[in-house]
Parts: sequence; structure tokens; C-alpha cells
Amino acid sequence: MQEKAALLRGLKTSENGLAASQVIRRQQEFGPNVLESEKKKNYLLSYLKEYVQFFAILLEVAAVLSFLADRFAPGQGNDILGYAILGAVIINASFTFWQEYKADKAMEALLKLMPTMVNVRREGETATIDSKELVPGDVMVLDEGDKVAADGILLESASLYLNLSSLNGESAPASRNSEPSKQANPLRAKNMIFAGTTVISGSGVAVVSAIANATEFGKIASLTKNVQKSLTPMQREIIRITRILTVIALIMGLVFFVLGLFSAKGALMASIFALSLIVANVPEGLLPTITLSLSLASQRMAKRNALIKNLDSVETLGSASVICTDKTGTLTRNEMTLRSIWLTGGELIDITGEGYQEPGEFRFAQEAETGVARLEQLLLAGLNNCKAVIDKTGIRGDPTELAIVAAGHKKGIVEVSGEKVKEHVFTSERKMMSSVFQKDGNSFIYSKGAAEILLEKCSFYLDKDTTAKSLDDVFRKRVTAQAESFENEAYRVLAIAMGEGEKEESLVLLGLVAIMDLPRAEVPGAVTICKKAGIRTMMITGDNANTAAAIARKIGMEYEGVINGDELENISDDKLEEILAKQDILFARMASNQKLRIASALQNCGEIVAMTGDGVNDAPALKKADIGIAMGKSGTEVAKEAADMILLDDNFSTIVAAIEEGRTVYFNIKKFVTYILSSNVPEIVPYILQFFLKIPLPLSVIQILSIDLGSDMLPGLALGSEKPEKNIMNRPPAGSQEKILDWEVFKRGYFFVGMIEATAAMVAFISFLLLQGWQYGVVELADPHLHRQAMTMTLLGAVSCQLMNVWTMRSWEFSAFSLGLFSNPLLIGAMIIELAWIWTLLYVEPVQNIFNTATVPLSDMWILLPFPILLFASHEFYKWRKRMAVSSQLRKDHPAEL
Amino acid sequence: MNVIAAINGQVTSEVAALYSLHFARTQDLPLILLHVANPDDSIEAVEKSMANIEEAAGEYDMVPERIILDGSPAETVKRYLLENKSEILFCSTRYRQRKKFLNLAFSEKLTGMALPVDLAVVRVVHVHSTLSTERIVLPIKGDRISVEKFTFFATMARAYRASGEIYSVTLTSKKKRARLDLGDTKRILQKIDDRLSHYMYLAKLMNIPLRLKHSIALNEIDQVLHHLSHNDFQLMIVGGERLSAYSSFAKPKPIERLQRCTPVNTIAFYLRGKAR
Repeated sequence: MQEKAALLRGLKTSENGLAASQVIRRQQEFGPNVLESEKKKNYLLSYLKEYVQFFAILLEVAAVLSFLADRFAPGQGNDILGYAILGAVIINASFTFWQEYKADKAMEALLKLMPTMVNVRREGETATIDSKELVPGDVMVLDEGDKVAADGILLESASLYLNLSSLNGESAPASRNSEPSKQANPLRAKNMIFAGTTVISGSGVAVVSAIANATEFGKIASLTKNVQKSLTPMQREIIRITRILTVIALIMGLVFFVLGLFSAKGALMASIFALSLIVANVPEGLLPTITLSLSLASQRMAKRNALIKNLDSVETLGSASVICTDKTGTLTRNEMTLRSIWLTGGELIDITGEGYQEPGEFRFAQEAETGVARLEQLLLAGLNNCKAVIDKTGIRGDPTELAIVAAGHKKGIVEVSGEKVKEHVFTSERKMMSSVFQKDGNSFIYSKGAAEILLEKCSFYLDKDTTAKSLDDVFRKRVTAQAESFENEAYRVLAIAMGEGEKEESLVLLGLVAIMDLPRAEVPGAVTICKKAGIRTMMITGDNANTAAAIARKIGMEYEGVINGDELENISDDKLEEILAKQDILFARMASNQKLRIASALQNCGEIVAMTGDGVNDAPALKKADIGIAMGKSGTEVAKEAADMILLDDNFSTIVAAIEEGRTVYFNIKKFVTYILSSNVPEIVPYILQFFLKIPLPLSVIQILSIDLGSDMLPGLALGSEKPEKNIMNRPPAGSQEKILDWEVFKRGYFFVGMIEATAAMVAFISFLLLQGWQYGVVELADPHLHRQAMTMTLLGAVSCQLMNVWTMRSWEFSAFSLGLFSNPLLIGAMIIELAWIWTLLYVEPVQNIFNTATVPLSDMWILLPFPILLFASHEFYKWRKRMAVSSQLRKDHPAEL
Repeated sequence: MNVIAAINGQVTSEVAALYSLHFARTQDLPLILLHVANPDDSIEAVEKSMANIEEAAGEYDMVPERIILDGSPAETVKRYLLENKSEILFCSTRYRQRKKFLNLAFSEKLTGMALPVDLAVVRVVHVHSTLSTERIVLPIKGDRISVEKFTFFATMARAYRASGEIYSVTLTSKKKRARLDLGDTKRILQKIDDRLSHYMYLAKLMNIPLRLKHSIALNEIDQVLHHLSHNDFQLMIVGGERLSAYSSFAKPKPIERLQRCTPVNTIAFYLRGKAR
């Protein structure tokens, strides 16, 4: 009583609650009881920011220069060029903005857990008020079904049970009472109640100790809101690519501008020339193609039960180097299965069929004459003592009981025997329960419970000859040893007994049942794939270390150590990082809030972390992880909103499938970056040659844009949806060692394929002019139509090579012939559209006028033919050489294995 | 020299006064309970608060002095401080959604004034924290910590026999952070460690368990709030800068958001002197 009085005095309140004047002053002092929500994003500002990015500024300067050039030298189509460049800027900005436009609704979902109205006692009167008006010192009156609006300390309670799952992830009701507690951890203090939780049963009166952000729930909201995410590997790569290409473009532009100034071309021509080179160097179609490619991949993932909420996550998945996964429901079925029975006659029986509804068989290790009868007796005794139901109306009840009922169904036992008249309920203290049945005027009791407890209540056991024999110490030891043997295998063990009468005494022990939530069938395979793919898998579970270790063994998950929740509390962040850098750890008895620490520590070790979660309190960790994965079936709305990806089937193997898809996207992007870079060379080389040689302009800037934003876009996109390469899950995680824009990409794009394309374009241009009677040294052609035809040939030279390039670029390492001609229908469609585009450039006059093209006689087109074939053959040869080099290296490194 | 606690009869000012009591007893300075009478405050509530503080002080054999003045609160307090030599003034501050320039809070007026004393502005969110304060955190930007701020922090830690943590937040941009490798990070943090090493040594001499934690963040306030939510601190001490109340028309001061959203009791420490 003294403690209660001190508590009320400390909060300057009384059991009758606060006075109205006190409430007003406290509302001023403490503020409203609302969680600080996130600042609304200014989307207009975000969109406008896209126009001041490095890439965009470069193009905008180019557009301004075009308009200036048109002002000083009108009629040369520079204005159209300016508009076209601005169009490219708008397309790029819009696509990038679309990619970033993602509403974060985790806070909204959290706020839904807070009540709007609450019962309080003020000046002795109970009233219902808006929960925003609650202040410290207020006296809350709680009843069954109420949501709690603030943290408080109980003054009175009657059979009060709360659902604390929003704070600790535990769905079992937590009992609360008003006894003072000395627990340091407020969540464990029995006299504390918390905002965001719900009263399951009972009633209580509590004084408010904290409101709004100061509550435990406010802390979770704050953790969820204030998580600062790093850039994704793809965002980093795009910044890097943009920077490298922009620097190349600027240097080239500057060099040729200076050269132009010192030549006879004059300042204006030099600046137009420099501008053309910059435009030629900037891959305008890159960002829209990446965005579209990610979007298509997310649709493919949805078909594989992985719902992607955030486009960037698609490729981040490909970079994932660690998967931190829950056990129950993700690695396991979340359906308890009765796997083994030990009868007191000494028989061991294995039961097939997993989960609640699969049929199964009972396999005796050693058959006894009466074995089946005693098995049926045990199953019936178990069934008589279960309230769980499996029928056409659904599956309801305690998972352990469901396992017993399901086992009974496998043996055809579905009906209880007799009429239930009484029940000795299960409590955590008793660790057993019994049901009394009446049959033919006699009472029978059926009991189940922890083996060590039920053994105490048993005086007999059922022997092979179906007679009840006295349970002596030797047999007790035998039962205990068998129970331990099951427990060592991480089974949950129950003893089953029956007797006459209504009392839990002198029972006859029938046997032991071993129950387990079994791993999903597809999980061991998925874990093996992860191993090969260089992805570490770590289990984080609330279960004990034994159970976790048994499941890890069954699924082939390797671990070098086990850390329990309490141990983790005593490990410093530095030490944890040191451990995680070197070892794969199995985390047992973990509270959900510890996941955030694990995610941070792994990220500090340089890992890209995929983390699963389902509870409200998993939200901060899901947001912190590089890929937060929420469970679609069992997950809360808050977890789903905080996650980047939702698993529609809660299955671990779906994560692995999504990672495969993510890796595929990453490498597909690498392919189409190479493809796009290849076409930059035939865009740049004609300008350089025209600078040094006495030839007419081979390609106009508007034609460059027709390649970058026209003919390259769809095939590029089709490359983005190529199927996974054969060895995709045998590589290290994408982005860790292999960058999108590395030397190999430059080498293939610029110096190999690009040079062939540039040669094709220039040979087409010069050959066509020579065939039409042009002589070297004539820079200004008398016939503008002839010039347009020649420029069209340059354009066709580049585009025809790109047509073949896209086929050979479909695989980075393997032969294009091994992929199947029709395995990528999008590519076929893209080819058809591209051919139609070429046709319009050649034959549709309005298009010709925009893009400076002209009809070229078919008889002159033969010039174009050899180069695409050469390109295809040489790139295929290049890949073959690479494969040979890799396999010979492998032979050297692993002579015994090959 | 003495320690002054401004009392207005509210539960928050009483909590602030309790902090001042612990500061005064640790520094062995007399405590003055100061109230400036004004129509908004109930004199009974003020006297009850003072009596509560006196009762708490009695446990440490301290007898606080009561002073009740008349006039405009902030100006009267300033006048009193100019006339009487004092060490530090503790006052509480209340929740402010946004600054009202025409109706500044008492604490806001004080932080904008040139005062001859240090100022400790207490934002109370847990009334009970003064009973058991086991962990105190001092967030700083990079290695920016003054001797005075550290002394105040150390005094509070000693008063409660609490363990302390200096939480250094190094600001960076999203792009820069993405480029940081392990070597760069270690270099940055090592530099801060070196610069703060003498404070760690001092804490050791004063027998205060102190640890130094780092973070590299995009937004200091977000990071500090995140850290507070993730840890179990009972008190935070932050360094405040004496700025004119009207110095931040366009953009609110970071400390204002920190005091509004903090999940733990927070003392903003302002060094004596002129306001910018």
C-alpha cells in the first residue's frame, strides 16, 4: 500500500484521478498523447531534384547550347535537337522519380494499433475521452477488449491478461497484476501495462506513467521511423556509372572543343561539335531501361510468391550475402507433427506424413502381436484429451493437440469414446491436463503431460500382453531415458496415460509421443543452393538452442556457434561484429528487438542483409535490413508495411528463388549496359573522324538520340528479362566482387563490340558515298539528299550491328545457341518493333524529316551485311575463349576433382 | 555560488528541481528554490512542490532556501541572477509543437538571454526517472565537447552513480556514406577517439563507468532518437547553443525537435554568456 501511495504521490495524482485544472496544465507540459509521425514527403520537390542531378545537368547544358546554336545558325535543326535532349531529360527524371515514389506506410499501420478513445477516472468520475488527451498521472480504467493508450503502472487488477505481441512478438497472453515489481526490464515487470497492447481478459486500473514517444511502443515507432537506410548496391552502381560516363563525356567534349577552337572551325562550330560528342557519350536510355527492367523482374517475382514493394529491392536481393531467417513457419511448416511413438511395451513406431492433413503410415521398428491395439489405445487416450479439431470446417486448436489429433486421423481414429464429464485444466505450473469420460456407467480418466510430471501420477504401465504392470524404478528410468532420447532430437515429448475414476492418480502409462514442427521439404535444397551461392544463412529464433540446432542439422544449415538472447545482451557491438565477421551463428531465445542489433552488426561487417520478420516489433529490423522480408500469411500489417518484400507463402525457398531472380536482374543489367555502351562508339567515332579527316558529317546528333532513346531501348529491355544463366547461383553475391561497370564491360562494350560497330558505320558511310561518286576531301556535299542517305547508312550500320549484338549479348559467358531462339519472347517482339522502326526511318517522310534520314536503295544495303555477322561470330568466339580459360584454370586449381 | 531551481508548482518543474538537488549535493553547493509569482501558477502547488524538494533534500542533510519574487518571470530571474552570484539555473520546459514567436516559453526566453550562469533546461517525459537513473547518455557531434559540458555530464553521472555514454554522431551524406570503406570509417572514428581520450581518462579518475560510442549518420537528430529508442537510458544531456529565439524563423533548431520527440528525460545544457 505504501508503494502505491508513493507512486501516486510521485506522479502527483490520486486513485480518483487528476483534477480538470491539473489535466489542462499537464497537457501543456507533456503535449498530446500522439506518436510523432513522419514528415510528409514533398513529392514535387523530390521530382524537381531529379533535374539537378549530374546526368541531367549535363544534358540540360547541352540543350541550352543547342538552342543558342540555333539562334546563331538557324535552320540546321539544332532547335529540334534541343527539344529532343530536353525530352530525354524529362523521360529520365520521370522514370527515376517513379522508381523512388514509394509511400512508407509502416508508421500508418503502427498508428492503427493505438486506440482513439480510452476510459479514464478523473475527479472520481469515469469518463471516455480521446486518447490524445491522456497525460501522465491519469488513471486508466481497463476492461476486456480495450486497447491500451499509454504506458502505466497497475493500481488494481482482476485476472488481467494482455496481448503484448506488438512489443515482444509473443502471442501468448501475458498475465499482469498490481504487485510491485523489481524487474529492471519494464516489459517483464508484471505490474506494467503498455501502449499499443490489448486487454485479452480481465480488468484493471492503472496510472499513466508515460505517453506518446516516451512509451515503449513509441520507441518501436521511433526505431521504425528513424532507421537510416544506406544506398542500395544498384543505386551506388548507378552513381558510379553516371560519374564515370559523365567524366568521359566532359573530357572528350572539352578536348574537342579546345581542338576546334584552334582549328579553322570557329568557336560556334567547336561548341556544337563538343556538344554532339557529349550527347553521343551519355547513354540517355540507361535509367529508363533499368527502371523498366526492375519493374518486369518484380512482376516475375510476384509469380514466384515474392511480392516486391520497392523496385530497388529486386537487385538488392541479388546482392544479398546473408539471410537471417526465422525458424517457425519459414524453415519449418508451422504445423506440429507427431513423428514417433514409444509404447510402454518397448515398441518404437515411426509415423510418416507431415503436418495436419497429409496421410501417413505407422512403421513399427519391432512388431509385437498386440502392438497395433495398444497403439490405438494410446491414440484414443490422446484424442480423448484434446480440444483441437481437424475437420471440414477447418483446423482449430493448440498445435501440440492438433499433432495428436492428426496422428489419430492417420490411424482412422476420429471419434472420442464416451461422454466428457470433467476436465483437469492445463496450467504452466501443473504441466499436465486430464479429461474424465463416462462410458457404460463407468468413469475413465485420460491424461497427457510432461513425462517427468505424468510419471509421478502413474502407478502402472501397459505391457506387451495388454495387462497393467506395476511401474517400478527400473521402468521409470527406462521411460525417462526414452524421453531424454527424444528430447535430444529436439522433439517435444508428452507422456500419455489413462485410468479408472476421476482422479489423477494410480494411472496406467501408455507411452510417449514425440512431436516436432518439421522443416519444410524444400528447405534443405534451398539451404544447399545458398551455400553454393556464397550466401550465409543464419537462424534467429525464439525457441531454445536445442530445438534450433536440431532443425539446423535437419536442413543442413551450418553454424559455428550458438548465442542465446541473454548472452547477446552481454556482448558489446564491437565483439558481436567481430564474431559475425568470422562465424555463422545460430541465434536462439532471441527477442525480436535483438534482430535490429544483429542486422546492424552484419551490415557493419559489410554484409548485405536479408532479414525475415512477422511481428510489429520486427518492423525496425525489417526497415534496417537491406532487404526486409515480411511473412504474407502470418505477418502483421506493420511488418508488411516496413518490409521491402512480402513472402506470400512464408517459405524460405521463396527467398532463395527471389535471390536468384535478383541476381539475374543484376547480370542482365550488366549485359544491357554493355549493349548500350557498344552503340556509343559508332556514335562517337564518326565525329572524331570528321574532325580529323576531310569528310562530310557522318551522323547527326538527332540520329544519336534516335539510337539511344529509340532503337536501343526495347532490345535493351528484352535483355533485362533474360532467364537466369546456368551458373547464376554458383557465383558470389552480385555487387560484392563483380561491379556492373567494370573493365570487362568497358573492354567488350567500347573496345571490342563498339569498335566493330563503329567500323561498320563508317564503312557503310564511306562506301555508300564512294559508290555515289564522292571523292575524298569534299566536306560539303552539293546534294543534301545524298548526304542524308549517307548518314542513314551510318545509322543503319550501327543499328544493324546492334540487332546482332543483342542476340550474342544474351549470355555473358555461354553460347547464344545454347539459350534457345524463342526462350525470350520479349526479344522477338523487340526485334520486330525495331525492324519496323528502321522501316519508318527509311520510308516514312515525316519521320525522315525529324531524324535527317532518307530512303536508301535496297541494292546498296549489301554493304551492311558482313559486319553484324562478324560481330556475332567474334563475340561468340570471345566467350568461347573465356570459357576455355576458366575451365583450364579450374583444371589447374582442382586437378583431382576434374 | 549556488544552484537555483525554478519552481512553478508543476510536476515537471519538481522533477527538474530534483535533478538540481542531485547536482547541488554532488558539487557541494547550496540549493535555492526560486519562484516568480504570476497569476498562472497556484501558490499552493508551488509551496507543495518546494516542500517535496525540501523533504528530498533532507535525506542528504541539505536545507534549500526558498525565494519568491514578483514581476515578469524571465526578466525578474535575470535581474536576480545578475545581483546574486550563482553557478547554474535549472528549469523545466514543456512540449512545444512549434515555436510561437509572440508567446515564447520561459525556458526559450532564458536561452536567448545573456545570463551570468549556466542553464539546464529539463524536458521531462518520465516523472519517475529521477528515482533510478542508471544510464546517462551525452550525444555530441563528432568530437565537439566542451569541458563545461563534460563536467555537467560527469556531475550528474556521479550524483546518480550512473554509467555514462558519450555518443558521437558524425554527419555525412548518403553518397559519401555509401563510399566509406572499413579503412575510412576506422580512420574517422580513431581520430574522434584520440581527441576524446582525455575525457575518458578523466572519467576513469572520477570513477565513472564511461564508454564512447560512434555512429556515422545522415541526420543527427534521427540518429540520436534511434539510439535512445534502441537503448535503455534514463537521462540524456545535450549541449545547447545560446541563440536568439528569433534566430531560426525559417528552420527550427535541431534541439527543439530533440526535446519534442525525446523518449527519455533530457537536460539541455547552455553555457553562460551572450546569445548569438
